[in-house]
This record gives sequence, C-alpha cells and structure tokens, in this order.
Amino acid sequence: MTTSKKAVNSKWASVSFADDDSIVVSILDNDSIECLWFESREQFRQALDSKMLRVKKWATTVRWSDSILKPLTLPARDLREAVKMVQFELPSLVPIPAEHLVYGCIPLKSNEVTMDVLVCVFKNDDIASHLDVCESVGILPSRICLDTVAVHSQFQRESAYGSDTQLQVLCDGIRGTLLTSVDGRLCEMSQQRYGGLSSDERQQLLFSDILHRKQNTGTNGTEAKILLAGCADSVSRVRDELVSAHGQVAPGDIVCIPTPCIRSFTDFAPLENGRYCYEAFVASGAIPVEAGSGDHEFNLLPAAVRGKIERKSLVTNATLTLALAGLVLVAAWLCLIAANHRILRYSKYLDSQILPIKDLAGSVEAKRQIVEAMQYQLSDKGLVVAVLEELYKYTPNEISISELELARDSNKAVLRLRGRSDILSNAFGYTDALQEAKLLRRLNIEDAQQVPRPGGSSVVEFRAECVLGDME
Amino acid sequence: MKSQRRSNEKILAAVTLVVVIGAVTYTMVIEPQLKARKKLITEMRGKQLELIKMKGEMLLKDRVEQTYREMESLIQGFGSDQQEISEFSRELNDLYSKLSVSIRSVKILPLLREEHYRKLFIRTEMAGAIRDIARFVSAVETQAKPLRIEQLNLTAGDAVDHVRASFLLTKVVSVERLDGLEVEMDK
Repeated sequence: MTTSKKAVNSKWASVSFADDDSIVVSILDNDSIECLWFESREQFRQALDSKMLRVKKWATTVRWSDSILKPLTLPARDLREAVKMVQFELPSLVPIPAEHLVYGCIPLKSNEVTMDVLVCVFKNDDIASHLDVCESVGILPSRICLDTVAVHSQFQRESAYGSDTQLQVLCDGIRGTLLTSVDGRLCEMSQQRYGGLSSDERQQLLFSDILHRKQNTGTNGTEAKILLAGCADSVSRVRDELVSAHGQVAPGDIVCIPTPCIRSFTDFAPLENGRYCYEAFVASGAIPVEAGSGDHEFNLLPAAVRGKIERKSLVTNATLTLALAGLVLVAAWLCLIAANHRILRYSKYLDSQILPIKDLAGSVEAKRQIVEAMQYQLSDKGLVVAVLEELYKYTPNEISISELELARDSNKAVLRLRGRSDILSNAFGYTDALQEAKLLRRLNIEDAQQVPRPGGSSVVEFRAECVLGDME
Repeated sequence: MKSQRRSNEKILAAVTLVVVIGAVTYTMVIEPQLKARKKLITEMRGKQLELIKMKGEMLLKDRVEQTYREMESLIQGFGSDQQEISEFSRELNDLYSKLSVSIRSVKILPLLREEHYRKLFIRTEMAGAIRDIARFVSAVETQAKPLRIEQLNLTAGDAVDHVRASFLLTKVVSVERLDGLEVEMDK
C-alpha cells in the first residue's frame, strides 16, 4: 500500500460492513495488512470516486449464520476434487435447484481415500443482495468469503501454532466468536451475540463457552492452546479470568493474538477503543493468503459474476496491450523518422561541404587523370631503341635472330626472341654474352633444339624471353 | 472437449489476427521508413566518399597544377575523334615517309575513351631494312608528342637485313580544354 496524504493504492483489499453503517477496509501492503475505518458508506464511496482509494481486487465476507451448513464425506483426495463432487451432491443436501445455489467447502479432515468437508450453501438471492450492497458503495468483489473462515485465516496467519489443536476466541464486547482448529483446519465454529446482557453476564457466558469447548477439543491428552484476540480490555479480562479465577488453564496455554491496527480514513489516526476489531479481523482474514494467485477454493462469488469480472479483466488487459503495442509502434515509427531526419541532416551538411569545392576538385581530378595518362605515355621513352641497341651490341655473330616480339604494359615489358645458332653451346652461350647488357642481362633461353637441314647438316633453333620489369 | 477445441480455435484466431495486423503494420508503417533509411544511408556514404575524394584532390592541387603546366604544351587534341585519329595517322605518316620502308597496312583500332582523355590506337605493318625500321622506332621515341610503342614485332625477311615490322602505337589526347586552377579559384 502506498499512502501519500490520503491516497491509497493496493492490489488487494477487503471490506467488512459494520452494523453502524461504517466500513472497515483491510489493505494488503506487500506482506503486511493495514486497516482503514470509514465512518459511513458515503465516505467510502467518495474515497473511491475521488480515487483516494484505488484497489485492483476486492474481497468481502458474508455471515456464516446466513448459510446452510452440511457436513459431507466424499471420495476425494483433495479439496479441489471435493468441491467438484459437491456439485452432484447438492440436490440431496438442499431441497432447492442447484442452479439457484452457491456453495463453498471447508475441509474438516481427510484420509487417503475420503475427505470430510463442511459444505456452506447460500441461495443466489442472498449473495445477489450482498453484491447489491457492495455495488451501492462502488465495488465489485472478486472474492466472497465466509466471515468465520476469514477469522480462522487471520488466526492462522498471526499464530505460530498452526499445526496444534487450537481454540480461537475473538471477543469484541458485542459478540464472541469461538473456532476450533485442528492441524490448521477449521473444525467447529460458534458465535454468540451478547445484545442486552451486562458486562459480567457476557463474561460469564464467554467463559463457560470457552471451557466447554476446551474440554471437548483436547486430543490425545494434549491441552488445546487458547488463542485470544479482540479489543484489549476484553482480551485481558478473559485471560486473567481464565488463569486466576477458574484456574483450569495454564498461562502457557493462552496466546494473545494482535488485532490489526485500525486507522481512520479521515485523519489516518489510530482508533483507540477497539470497537471495530471484529470487522478488522474479518476483513484482514478475507484477503487471500497467497494474494495475487486468485486460486482459492472458497469463493462464494457466482460463476456469472466471476465470468463478468474475467471478461472485464480480459477487455482491460487487451485494451492495455493494444494501447501499449500502438505506443511501441508509434515510438518505433518516430525513432525511424528521427533517425532518417538525422541522416538527411548529415547528408545536407555533406552537401554543404562538397558544394564549394566541387568544381575545383573536379578540375583537379580531370587534370590529374590527364597528367597520369601523359606520364604513362611518356614513361620509358627510348626503351625500344635501347633494347634494339643492346641486341645489336651484345648478340654474337654465331647467333641470328629470326623473330622479335616486345610487349609493354603499365608494369613491365616482355621481350621474346626466336633465333638460330650452329651449335647448342652457342645458343646457351647467348645468355653469357648478354651479362654486360643493362636491359637484357636476364635473358633466359626457354627452349633450344637441333633441327636437321637438307644435305645432312643441322641448325639449333631456340626461344628466349626477358622481362624488362625494373627498367632504370 | 468441445469447449477446449473452441478455446484453441479462439487462440488460433487471435494469434492469426495479431500476426496479420503485425504484418500489415510492418508493411505499411515500418518498412517504408526502413527502405527510406537504407536509401538515405547509401546516399550519405556516397557523399562521404565523394567528399573524401575531393579533399584528397584538393591536397594534390598544387602538384597537379604544376605538372599540368609543365605538360601543357604536350597536351593537345580538342577536336572530334575523327579529327584526332586523322591527325595521329598524319603524324605517323610524316615519320615514315622520310624512310625507305614499304607500308604494308595501317589499321585504326577503336579508341579508349576515359572521362577526361582519349587514347588512340593504330596498328601499322611495314617492311624494309632493319636500319630504317630502327630509325622509325627512334623517331617515334624521340618525339615530344605523347606517342608510345605498345607492341613491336620484328620478323626476319627474305633478304639480309630485311625485316617485316608490326607496331601498335598509341597517343593520348585530351577531351576538353581545361583552364588554369587559379582562374577556377578566383571564380
């Protein structure tokens, strides 16, 4: 829960209607629960309308005394299975058509093959009238719980003795609620209203109820723990009486359970007199323990209303998802637009850089290309003459050249020769003769063969090649 | 079972709808922008390269201008391709007309056209004494004009010192007359 001045936000909250038209709201804040008291339903409605109180999911309770309770043994292994089976047992339990009923199950005890449950049945009309009350104050609950189940849940939540046998007593001066819990399961419940009784009479009645119940709940020789909760005065009086006056309860068997702190919504000041501790206890217990999961076996909310809530949630989620998707799309589109605009701006900047030098750089480039072409054209001037000169100068008289081929490109010039000599040694001696030459000193005889001539003589024909790469 | 199937069909329909909407949205909204972005990036990179190249040219400006000025007298040929080929052929004719060689063929090859210059090609075949052929080679190579012997083939003839020669000759001529850079800069 987050509060800033009077604004309250929470995921889960539960509402409990007091007899005097006021309302107690328990609000889940992370793992802790806080209670707010609204002096009237009108104030509560205004808080919702003005968004001072924002809650995603509401829980509420109905009185167990308005329900039809039927114990049932079912061949079920778990509560979920048992709840499904009860649907088929309903006609035998209540003489009302099943479609006019809403029910919930409280697990009592179980073994390997069967489970005892307490079926809590309400007429649709009763739940509908409770929903009308909720609607009149502006909420649509997601969970409707039995008040005693809520009280038991709250005792379990606050108590450290979850697996023992417990006698849970909630007294607020107006009524006394007694629950018996074995191994964390609600086994027995009773509620006594003390309208018209004096303080001593109420106390006496409560003591007798507690002692009577205590005698019946002790199992296997172990004493049941007594968990006391309620307004501070009542709790301390009951505790003292149990220990001292009656002397039948050891002090260690009595545990006082704190009541949730109640603050007035008007000024957020704590309420001191403990008047609404019952409503606070019920409202706090009605909030699901595993808040947020929404998977609770005990929910008296009719299937039609549940479907309506689910549809509403679905529509809300779909709308939000679509809006988010649209937003993401627009954001992506805007990002692309922005990126394109940035590139365009940079392109314009490049244009502004290019424009002043474009003509000049173009002219330089043209001249450079011409200069390079001319330089190539004028390079190695005199090479062909030099080659011919060296051939003339260094070719021995024994060698005659029949064919010469000179090819030039940008990197090198290649000279290929075909020639003749009288003997093979003269042909190979040609390379030695060119050792003094500047350009042709790397002439290489590639092929030489003796060719017979008419008349019995022979001549050596050869091919030679020289790469004029590093011309100086 | 039936409701499970109906639920699966609903999920399938919803997924299909989402995919279709996504595809349409991508095609209509995102893709045009991505295409525009690709085009803009290509253009921008082209301009970046152009600018780098131009800056490089500007760094070489003084050297290029100086070399160009030195070569300016050699750079000629602002006529049409035909005029330039004709001029090139006439220049060669002037060279070998003074020698006692017999011209066997003169072949004009397709010219190479670059952005700012043209390269002309002529293949000529001649026969004569080796001395005259050598004089022709010498005359070409000592010419101040941008002539170049790209290929030379010499084959021995029937008589002594008589050869057949084949030359591939080239000449570079400009495409347009370029003004001095100072003038450009003044502009």
